Amino acid sequence: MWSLFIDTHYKNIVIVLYKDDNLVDMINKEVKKDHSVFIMPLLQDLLTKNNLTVQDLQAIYVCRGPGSFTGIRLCVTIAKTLAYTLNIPIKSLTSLELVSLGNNAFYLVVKENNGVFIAERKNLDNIKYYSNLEYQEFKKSHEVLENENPLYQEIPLYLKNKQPENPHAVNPLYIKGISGVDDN
Amino acid sequence: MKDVYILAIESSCDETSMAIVKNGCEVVSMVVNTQMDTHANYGGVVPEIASRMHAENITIVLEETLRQAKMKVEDVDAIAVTYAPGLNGSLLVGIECAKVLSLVYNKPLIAVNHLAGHIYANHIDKEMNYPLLALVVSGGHTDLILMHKDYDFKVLGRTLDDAVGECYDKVARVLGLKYPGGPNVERLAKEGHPTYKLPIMMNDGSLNMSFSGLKSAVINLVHNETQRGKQINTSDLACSFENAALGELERKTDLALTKYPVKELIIAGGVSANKHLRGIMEEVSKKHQVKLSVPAFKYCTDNASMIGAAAYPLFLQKKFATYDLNASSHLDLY
Repeated sequence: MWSLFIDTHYKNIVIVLYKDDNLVDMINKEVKKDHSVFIMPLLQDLLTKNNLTVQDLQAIYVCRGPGSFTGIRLCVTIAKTLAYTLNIPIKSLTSLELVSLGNNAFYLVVKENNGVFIAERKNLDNIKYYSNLEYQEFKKSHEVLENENPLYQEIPLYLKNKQPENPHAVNPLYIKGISGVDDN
Repeated sequence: MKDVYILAIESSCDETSMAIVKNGCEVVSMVVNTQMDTHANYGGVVPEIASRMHAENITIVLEETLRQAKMKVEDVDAIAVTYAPGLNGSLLVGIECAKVLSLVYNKPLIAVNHLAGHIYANHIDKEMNYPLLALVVSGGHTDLILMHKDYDFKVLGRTLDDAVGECYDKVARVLGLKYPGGPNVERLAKEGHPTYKLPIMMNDGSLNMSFSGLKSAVINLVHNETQRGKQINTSDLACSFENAALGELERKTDLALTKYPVKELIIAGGVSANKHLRGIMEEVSKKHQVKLSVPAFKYCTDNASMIGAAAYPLFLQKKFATYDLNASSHLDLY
């Protein structure tokens, strides 16, 4: 069974291909801007390189954020459209869950352009946003681990017991407010 | 010739829309999910909110469009999508969805310019008769364009500053009217008389236009009268403003038709829904003995049917896009 994980929550475009829950191949490419120019060509390249077509995929995994607003919209839109049109299961995880794979840190940190998202391992759903300044303060009193290299091979196992989601209802997780709207 | 069905996607601003269009002129189904009520709370479109709502609704709109058409994506010949101009984050949702549909169903991808879409709204349920003069009037554009054939756009004149639709929205604000400004100013103007004296813009021999002076004049007038403790007659001011703004469009369209003999005058873009403008252009076209074409009201504001109509000539010319297609917020058509 072939499955695919897509993540563009920050600078890197990560696309991982699994066969029977084992990582077979992956792309991890840092892109400065214009992610939309690269994601679909890279996805297509990865499949072609492994002699596959999208029709061979039987499950989609996606990182729904938090992270770059545009980034998480891109990967979620691609993932939910793939799952909906191919009529295959889709499961999502947060970027905090993602970076929790492969380490034992108490606090998990996900970077964003102007700050970070932080959650405690024991309560990953409780995600808070810190500006870079606030984060510098936080680091003085808390031990944090910035995990840039999560263990992507653990994703299928991590999501194993999670129920597939309705593709229409898979949406980006923003956490951070919209400046000018959510201020004050 | 075999019928051509195009599945079109439009997400450039605050409407998530999809349509299936047959042979570039017949709408099989169209769904428009408007976010207008949400943005009305903020007095205008908030780009980030618009993008979020597109991402939430995109597959739902797809499902509904297919259901209404009783078709599957397999049944269409191409996937078309608006790629420019518009709000970047919003455009990207439609673009990535279109790429996935193209990949999964192995259908060609067609990148359509939103303004070409507005012009080709005049191809839905009718013909476009070349050579033609197109007056594109929207929140972002005020252009006079000469077309001799499909996708042959020659700009004769355009606004040098604000677009007429933008001007309507700003005037609506100072008159205390809610977003969307255009229809609300039009409604109020109908009850008033043109009693306020406002400047005549770009009263020259060129085909260029200008609306920022008019906008400032209205804002200053309201400010000055308020300072003097005088009450503004908002319906009279709305009427005076509309006469001035539409007068500019009338003069320049009239001049363009004098300089360039065409068979047809078409109006395109959101402001083409304005009934007063339609009436004026009827007179202008009669005077020059040219045919007038205006889109049906539902194809004036942003919608995917017009994108499907504009994609059809590109399909016939096999002008297809690749998966590195990007959104562009400021891309001129011409």
